[in-house]
Amino acid sequence: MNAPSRTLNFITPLAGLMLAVATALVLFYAPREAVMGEVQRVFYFHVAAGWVGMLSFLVAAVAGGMYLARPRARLDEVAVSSVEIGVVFTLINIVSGAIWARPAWNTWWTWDPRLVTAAVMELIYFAYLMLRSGIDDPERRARLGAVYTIVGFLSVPLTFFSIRFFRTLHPVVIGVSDPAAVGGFDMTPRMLQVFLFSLLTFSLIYISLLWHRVRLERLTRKVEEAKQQRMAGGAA
Amino acid sequence: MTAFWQTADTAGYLVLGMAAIFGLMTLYVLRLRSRSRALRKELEELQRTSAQKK
Repeated sequence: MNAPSRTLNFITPLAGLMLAVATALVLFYAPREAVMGEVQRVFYFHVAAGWVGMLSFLVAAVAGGMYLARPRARLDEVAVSSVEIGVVFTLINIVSGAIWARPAWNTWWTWDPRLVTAAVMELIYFAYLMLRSGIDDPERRARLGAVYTIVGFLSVPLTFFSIRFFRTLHPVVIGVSDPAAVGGFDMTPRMLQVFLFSLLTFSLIYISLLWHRVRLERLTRKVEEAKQQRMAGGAA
Repeated sequence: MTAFWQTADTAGYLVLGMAAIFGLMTLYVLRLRSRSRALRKELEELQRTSAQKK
């Protein structure tokens, strides 16, 4: 397998460094929120993880659409890699949200529209990974996967807009929250700076992880091909 | 609850939240690394055996 490109060798440590800086900013630079106290600092990475989750599913849907228009193995590799990363980051978003909810809402979990739509979105993409592992034919797997990423993407805007359309406990970060929302706050300029830096950091982590994961997918394909060649050689 | 204990309580949840975020990210990176190492080893093995046959 080819060695990682110079860009990847640059992006990966940069993403690590930015994560360290973002953590320091979250803990020491961002002001303490008056009502919720220290736990509100989870917000910066909680939202950034949610952003990466949704971005991953968008990239997968775009790659899926492009695959249907013009089948290329590379596009399928991008789609499956992006979905896997999206599932991990959505899980981070849900778990960190539950930990924040305990002191803010006095419960780890509630059947709120945002929480339910996020959990359904996570399950939809988890099912995508399970479905793929059950199909042996690579072309059929890629075609079905492409259709799934496009249809499954419907869950992403539904999750994003759930706090704007339905009556909910979950506050809106940018815009007007529902009057019933609990745990909302107005961002000070310092909070906004840390929030934007966290979003940038997590976006860079996503790019780096996607690149590494696509390389892994290509390696998997190479192993499969080598196995098939060996089997064909053995049969002859 | 005194102000001190209130701060300690919310700080505890912050530590838990950060541990979950970094823990899950680290687990995923480690899983990617171990998968990559195993696949590379398997590919080398396959290439070695096919070269021996030739």
